[in-house]
Amino acid sequence: MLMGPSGSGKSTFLHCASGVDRPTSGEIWLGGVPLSGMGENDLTRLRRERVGFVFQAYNLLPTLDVQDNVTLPLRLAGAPLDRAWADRILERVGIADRLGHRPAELSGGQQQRVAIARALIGRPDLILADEPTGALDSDTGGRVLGLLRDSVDDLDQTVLMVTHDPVAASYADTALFLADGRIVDSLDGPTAPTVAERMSRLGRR
Amino acid sequence: MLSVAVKTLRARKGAFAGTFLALACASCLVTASGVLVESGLRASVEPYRYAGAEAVLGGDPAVEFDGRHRTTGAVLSEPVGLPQETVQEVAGLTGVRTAVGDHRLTLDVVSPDGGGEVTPVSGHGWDTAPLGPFTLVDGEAPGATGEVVVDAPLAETLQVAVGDRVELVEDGGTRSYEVSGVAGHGDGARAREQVLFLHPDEAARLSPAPDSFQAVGVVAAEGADTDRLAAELAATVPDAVVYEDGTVDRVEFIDVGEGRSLLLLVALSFGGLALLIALFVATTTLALVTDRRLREFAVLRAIGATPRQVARLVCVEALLLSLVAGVSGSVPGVLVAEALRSYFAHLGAVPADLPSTLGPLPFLVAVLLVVVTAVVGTLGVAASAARTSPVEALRETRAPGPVELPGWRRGLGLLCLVLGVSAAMTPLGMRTEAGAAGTGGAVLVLVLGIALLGPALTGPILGAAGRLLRRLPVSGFLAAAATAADPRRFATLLTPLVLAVGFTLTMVTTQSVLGAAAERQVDEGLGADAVLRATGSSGVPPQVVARVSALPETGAESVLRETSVIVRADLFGDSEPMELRAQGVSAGTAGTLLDPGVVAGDLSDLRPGTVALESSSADLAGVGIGDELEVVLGDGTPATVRLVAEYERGLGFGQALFPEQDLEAHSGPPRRLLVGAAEEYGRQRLEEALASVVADQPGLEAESVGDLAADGRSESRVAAWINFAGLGVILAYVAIGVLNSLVVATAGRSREFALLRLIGTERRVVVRTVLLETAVLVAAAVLLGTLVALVPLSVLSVAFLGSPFPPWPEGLYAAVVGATALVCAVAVLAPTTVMLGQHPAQTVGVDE
Repeated sequence: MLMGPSGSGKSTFLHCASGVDRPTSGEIWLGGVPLSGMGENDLTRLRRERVGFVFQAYNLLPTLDVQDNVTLPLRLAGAPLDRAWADRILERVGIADRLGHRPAELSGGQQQRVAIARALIGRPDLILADEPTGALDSDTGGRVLGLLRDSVDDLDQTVLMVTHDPVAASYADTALFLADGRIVDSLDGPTAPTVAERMSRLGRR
Repeated sequence: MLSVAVKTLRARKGAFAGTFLALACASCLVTASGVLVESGLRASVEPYRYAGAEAVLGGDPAVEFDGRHRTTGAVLSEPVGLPQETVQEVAGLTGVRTAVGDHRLTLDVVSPDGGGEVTPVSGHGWDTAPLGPFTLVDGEAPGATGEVVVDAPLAETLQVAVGDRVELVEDGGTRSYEVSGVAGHGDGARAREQVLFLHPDEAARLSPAPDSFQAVGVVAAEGADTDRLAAELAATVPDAVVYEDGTVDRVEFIDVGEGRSLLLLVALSFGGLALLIALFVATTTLALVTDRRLREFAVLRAIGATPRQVARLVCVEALLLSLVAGVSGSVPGVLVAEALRSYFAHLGAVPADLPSTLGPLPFLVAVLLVVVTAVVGTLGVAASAARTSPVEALRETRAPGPVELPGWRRGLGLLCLVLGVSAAMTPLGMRTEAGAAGTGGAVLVLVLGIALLGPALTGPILGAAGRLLRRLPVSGFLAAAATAADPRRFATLLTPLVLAVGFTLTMVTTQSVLGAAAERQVDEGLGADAVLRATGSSGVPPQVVARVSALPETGAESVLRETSVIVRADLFGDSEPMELRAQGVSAGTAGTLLDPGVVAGDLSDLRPGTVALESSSADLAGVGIGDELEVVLGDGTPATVRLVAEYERGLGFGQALFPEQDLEAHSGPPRRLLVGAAEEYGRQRLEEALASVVADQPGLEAESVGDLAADGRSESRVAAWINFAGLGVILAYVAIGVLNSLVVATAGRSREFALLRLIGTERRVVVRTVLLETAVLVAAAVLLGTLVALVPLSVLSVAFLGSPFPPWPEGLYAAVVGATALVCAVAVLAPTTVMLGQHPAQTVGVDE
């Protein structure tokens, strides 16, 4: 869990971690591989195989139905579809009955769950979630966060999430606090009140 | 990837409809020109007089230089004959039953009701009757030189029967013949012309070239192998062209051959232009549609699509779309071709009965070209799609793309502008109609340059417009912000508009400049007081010339023989045959009756064996005063002449002046007689005297000097109308393209409009905003389009009229500006109105 006030460098961190952006100094290792010196195609392949994305704005392809959206990363990678795994994920995120629908026909919470299924399908080393609940009400957001938590607990998935919502942060194992581009604090087993307290301290700095 | 592409196309029907339409229309245009090309190459009419011949030999109309360089680029203007011996050579071959030489005579029959009207007929010796075959239905064959046989249609036209007499216009008078028989066509073929058969000796006597034949028809023996026969004929008479089944009409009917080459010429230039413009328009819409999908590409990149995969997706989409569009557009293309063909027939440029030829090739070529166009047009778009950074997907709002132009585009754009301006200079070095054609090409290249430079050029325009708009209330401020926000979209929309405005202005004004120049040249250069013109096909006979010459009122007279000759010219470093419009005049009178505006040499030196050339044509032919020049006369006869004068009034009087004796045996009869009044009588008395000559002579009329100027350009005016028809079709296409891309671009702004509405902007303010934006677009298009047209037109005007201000077509200009504004306003308002009718909150909520 990565937290910090606006402008603290959360997004830049995320972009660098996923190989979308390059750091001006320092090095990034992902799943035992250094990212520096990789070409655009290698980075793309790496993203495809090792990283799953969940965006605040869902970013599903409007022209494809749920099934196609979820399986698209595999198609792009030219990888075979593991039917059982796909069924398990779709079942888990609770959209197995909406497979033929287009994103426009789904609610925000449903769309985000499809996006999580898409992130999980390739068994990535890391899922990067950029304010995944930012556009959802607290109830729906809670279910999405629960889903991410479950994927950690049941599927052994690593999730790095950016948020500034203390409640969202409470789902994490560890919360890191960013300010002015630096990690200034960390908190194991965060709860909403402790996170909120740290955040307000950062805000006053 | 294919299935993803198919699904994207299906789901985005609306967005792709515009591109589909643009590509389908492109396919329609290309198919249309393809059908015209094929018709030009293959269309034929049923033979009539030669319907019974298995093969017909004709002279070769292609030009030969140095006896080795044969080219199809230049075609002789006069019919080419075959030597008389050909008949004997051919008749001896096995498999030949009959071989007949045909003098194809153009004769005028005086209408029986008098009044000087003449009916043109095709005259032949009766010995050619088996080629039809024609058989007598009444009476008998012409047994003496004073007897003729008419075919049934002519008998009906003239209301004559066996025993009646017909009058033929001949050598300054008429000659009477007795109708000995009426012939019918053995196969009942449809008549295309009215035929009159003379006694073979009489046909030879009337022929301007009695010792040669225009065609030699061959009827095969029973059961002969016609393919082998044709091969043997070609081997026996290597100088001749052998026409067989399906091509016989080319040697039988002159107008068919002319119509076909015109179709071919028009279709090729029209097709090339259409293809180029289709590339413009299709690329524009593709770019606009893709621009709206950058976010989609960013998501694809973020979830692991390589740049290659994104590019491939875009290309596969274009491929599928263009395939379907190409096929569906090619079918209506046939209708466009048919409409153009019948319009050309209506103008008299193509025989009305020459059909369109339909084969699979134009369709295949159209689909292929449209697919290639779409894929090539997409490549640039695909590259930018592939470059999309995945960061775009992580951003909440997407900023319009950068305006920075890549260096190659800047360089290529500037190169196009330079090339365009230098192409515009062509008329300065080539003051002929061919040189004037350079202006059209110049405009195309200039517009291409503008398209390439796009945003870099539009930036300053937008800056100026923005300052103006910001003075207006809120809608002006919004419009300025919206146009400035996306200069790339603005530039993309601008290009086809600039093309439409610039091209229309150039095409039309070029014609008026040429018209004005020709008229002025004839006006200034014609010293004759009266002109006699032949209305029939026998021209102005020598007897009439002698009679006019003998009139006391006549001071000087000169026939005017019109033909064309071919010289070798140095065009772009290549030695190419160049056709020159040539006139034959009486040597002594050239300077007075007809003053071509001599700039070098002396026209009084014009005597047999010499020539005077329009000065830029002389430069192109690489000759100066006193130099020898090789020319090929209209009937293919080579000649060497000495250049004695160069002149400047080439549009009015043609590019070459010959003493008329030199052309006499190599061209048709003179069409005109120029007459100058003797000093003591004056123009009025001369005209009266000439009126009495005309009254005695059928097939002649007095013509005003103004008519001569107009007639001198009538052929190029027909060509101009043909070009206008092509231009009209292409403009319609550009209009559809513009309409299309504006609708696509406007429809892409639904979210923006909804947001404006949500924060409390009234509908009419939104409408006013888009209208102001459209006004900026139209103004910029008119400005650039006018500029692009003005450069070559000024040069043209300097070359032909001596002033940098071409005659400006005010009415047309207003119409072009009005039509542009109207099309744009409709294209923008229609989608805006629809979008404003939707609920704004809903529109904002939908992720585009």
